[in-house]
Amino acid sequence: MAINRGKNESFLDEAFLRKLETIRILAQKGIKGKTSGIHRSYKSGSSQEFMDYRRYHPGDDMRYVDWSVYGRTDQLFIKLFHAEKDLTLHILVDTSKSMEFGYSSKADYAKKIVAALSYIGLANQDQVGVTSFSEIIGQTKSPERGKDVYLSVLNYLKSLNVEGKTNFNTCLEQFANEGNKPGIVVVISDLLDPLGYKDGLRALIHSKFKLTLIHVLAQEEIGPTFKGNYALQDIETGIARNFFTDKKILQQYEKKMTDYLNDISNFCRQRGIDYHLANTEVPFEDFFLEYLKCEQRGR
Amino acid sequence: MGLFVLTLIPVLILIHSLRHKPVQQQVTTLFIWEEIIQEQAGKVSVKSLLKNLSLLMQIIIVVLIAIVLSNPVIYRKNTLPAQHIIVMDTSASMKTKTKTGSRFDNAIIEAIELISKNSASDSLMIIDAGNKPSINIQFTENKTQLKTILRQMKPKDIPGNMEKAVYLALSFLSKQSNTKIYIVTDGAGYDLNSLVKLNNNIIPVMISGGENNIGITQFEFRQRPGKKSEFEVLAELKNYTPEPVIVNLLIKSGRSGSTEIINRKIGLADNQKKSYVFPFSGKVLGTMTAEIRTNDDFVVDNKVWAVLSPVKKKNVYLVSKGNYFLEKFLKVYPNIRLTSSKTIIESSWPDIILRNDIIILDNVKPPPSLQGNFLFLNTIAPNIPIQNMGILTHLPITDWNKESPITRGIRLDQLMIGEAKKLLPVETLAKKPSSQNLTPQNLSSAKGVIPVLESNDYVLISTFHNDGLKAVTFGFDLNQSDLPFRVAFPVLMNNIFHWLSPVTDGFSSTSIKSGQPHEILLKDGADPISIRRPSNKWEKMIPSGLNLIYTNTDSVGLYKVKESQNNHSFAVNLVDENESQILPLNQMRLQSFNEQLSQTTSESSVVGKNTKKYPTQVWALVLILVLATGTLETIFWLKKGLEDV
Repeated sequence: MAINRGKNESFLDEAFLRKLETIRILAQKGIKGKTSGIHRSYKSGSSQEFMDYRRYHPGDDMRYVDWSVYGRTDQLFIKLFHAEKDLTLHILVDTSKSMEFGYSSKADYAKKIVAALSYIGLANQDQVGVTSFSEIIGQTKSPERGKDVYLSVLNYLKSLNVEGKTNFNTCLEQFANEGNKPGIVVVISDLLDPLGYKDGLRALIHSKFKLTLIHVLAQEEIGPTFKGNYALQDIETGIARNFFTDKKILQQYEKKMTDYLNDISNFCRQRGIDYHLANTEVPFEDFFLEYLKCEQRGR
Repeated sequence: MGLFVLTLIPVLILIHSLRHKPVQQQVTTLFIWEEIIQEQAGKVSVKSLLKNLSLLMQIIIVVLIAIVLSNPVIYRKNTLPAQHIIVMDTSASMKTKTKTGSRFDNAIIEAIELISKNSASDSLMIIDAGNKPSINIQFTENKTQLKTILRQMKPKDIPGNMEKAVYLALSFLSKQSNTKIYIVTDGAGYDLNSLVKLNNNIIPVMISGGENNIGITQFEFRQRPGKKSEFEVLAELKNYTPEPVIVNLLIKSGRSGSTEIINRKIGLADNQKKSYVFPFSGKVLGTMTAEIRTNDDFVVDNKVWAVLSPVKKKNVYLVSKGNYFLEKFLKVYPNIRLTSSKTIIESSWPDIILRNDIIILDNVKPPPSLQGNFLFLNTIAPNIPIQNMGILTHLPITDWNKESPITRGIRLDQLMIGEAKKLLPVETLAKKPSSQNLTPQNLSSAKGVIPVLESNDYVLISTFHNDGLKAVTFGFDLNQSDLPFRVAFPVLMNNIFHWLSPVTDGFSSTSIKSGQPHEILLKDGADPISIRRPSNKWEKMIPSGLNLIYTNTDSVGLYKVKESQNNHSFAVNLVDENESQILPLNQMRLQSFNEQLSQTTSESSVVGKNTKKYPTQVWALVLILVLATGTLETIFWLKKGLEDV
């Protein structure tokens, strides 16, 4: 049953936020950025972490000439260091009507994930931006840096309304084409769009975003339990279909859902997308810690 | 009751319809469900069936209960042994000669074939369709015995009574039996068509062959009126063939029947019937025969017999003080021996009664008598339950019994009577409120009195017959009426004499038709008598009274009756125009019957002769089905319940 729990409640308690503060989002490879951040880039730069040598070319900064090597070899070499680059975290959160579904609302669950990711990102001096979408791209919280931004993120999340149909591909394609800063994109959605999800994800990959997909589903969606004669009504379109469900039908549904999830998982794996399934029945803290462990292992 | 239970079906459907109303359920998307729906599309009927299996089972249970309550039966083929009846036509026409023996010989062959076609477990009965149909052998499986009985059967010289025989056979038909009635007949002498229509189980087995017949269909002998020794012979001949024929008619007479009276060639056109009257004179004693010499196929009607007995005189005893008209009549009445007396001598009265055939008491009161033949004129016998209530004068005739044997051939409605006694039978008197002094004995015997002539409920002439006592009572004096002047008088007296003493002038019992009973009046009471049949076989019979009814007149010819002191003969002739018509049936109808028989035979061979559908009650079986379906429904319901959990 769709339950929309209070938009104004705090998504994360203080204790959990403190735990998260100690963890950083680790990027797996260098990402271009206009401003320096605390994330390493393979582009040589001015950080203290030595990377390699190269011959001196006229115009190079003389401060990076390694004079001890010159003394031994009588040749000029330039020290190369990992450049400290800034990281932009884009969080795309699905706010279509279907996200309202579940005893523990998927939208609430998604907002908690957004809040947690934002907190970690901001704690690590990353720029964090949040964008909602349903039929179209909705409200956008532009990427900003600093812990003080967190409050505005929370307010932003509180202001989000769950409504409208899902138009996953169009929205993601639009986001990819808007010329947003490169960085990490975390998509949080239930992916229950009859038109599919692949085109949207492909568009983001094509735009060089590092992509993470958090697939939020309620337990009733993964394994429904209602049996008998039902008029099934689409929560987004209002269209109803009479359906007699019994044990076999439900098993068939579960199989279809499993196939669907496997299909998503395979798609993501083949394209280097980090895929995480979030069952709203699992306590959020457990899911998120597990998610972070996976991220660290991936690194 | 079963139909009432069926009304539960709409209720069940209604209940199930209510139960199946869908519950609203929100889902985040329909596309997975729709995929399932599409996959299920091919299995929709099975699905919906399974979905409504409970309803279907409950409907089946209701229908089965309705069937149980309507006490269902199924008809199943039963191979129980069948029972068949063979009705054998033994009438005279079955004696007709054919190329392969007589028709009856062929009938025996057909009947034996029928018996052989039946299975060993079948029972058959044989009925003889003679003048008096009889069962020759009851239902038996013993085919040998049946065949033996058949071979022992003989056709008789009598017209058959196939209708009675068929009704007798039909009495053995029952609704559930597989009885067929085979009529083995030539179809001559009766309407076979209407008999076959009586029942579908009647199957005629037609016997044909031999179609030429010329027969004597009537033979009478009489004395010429007023001529003592002159007589006439009537012979009627019929040609049943489609061709004209000439036959030689030979009439013989004499004690041994050897004196030729007539020998004449007679021509008959096709299907022509001719009557000839031949006068002759002389003594008429012994036997007279008429015979046609022809080589036809049916000989039974080619010869007829008549027995000419000598005239026997009746002993008449008249007690009268003088009655001119009566005495005059008795003098001219032939063949009587009259004894007259003016008074009654009571001592010799019993002897008089024994010695005389008729006693006439004219205005003389008789003593009580328990036997004898009396004519009471204007007097009442004490044994006869009639009471005299007074005198009637100038009375009109209000009713007369035309059916009485003594009024045969006369009219009495114009009779004039000046004075008569007011006679009332005791039975009628008992019904009157003023009647007194009636004893039960009188009442019980009153039923013998039959009024013949009446005037305002008073009896003028009556008859009475009780045991050995026969009496005709006139309640008036002949001289007080115009009866002696009427033409009816001699006829009335003749009728009275014939009724009182039927032993007549010897011509009446000369011949009878074959199959008819012959009454033998005995002189010697209960002494045994012997009868010689035309086949010269003697039959011994013990009569129980003064007469004996002989019924075995199934052969044409002369029968000789031998008593201890008296012998006489009588003749039996066919003289039946229908039975002499030996043409079986027209060819078309014969063919139709044969087709019917062959169809029946072929059906019997295909389906099984003894196969018939018998109803069997199946409510118990249906009830078991109800329980089984109920159990299945319960299992299904429990299983579904577990699945839902």
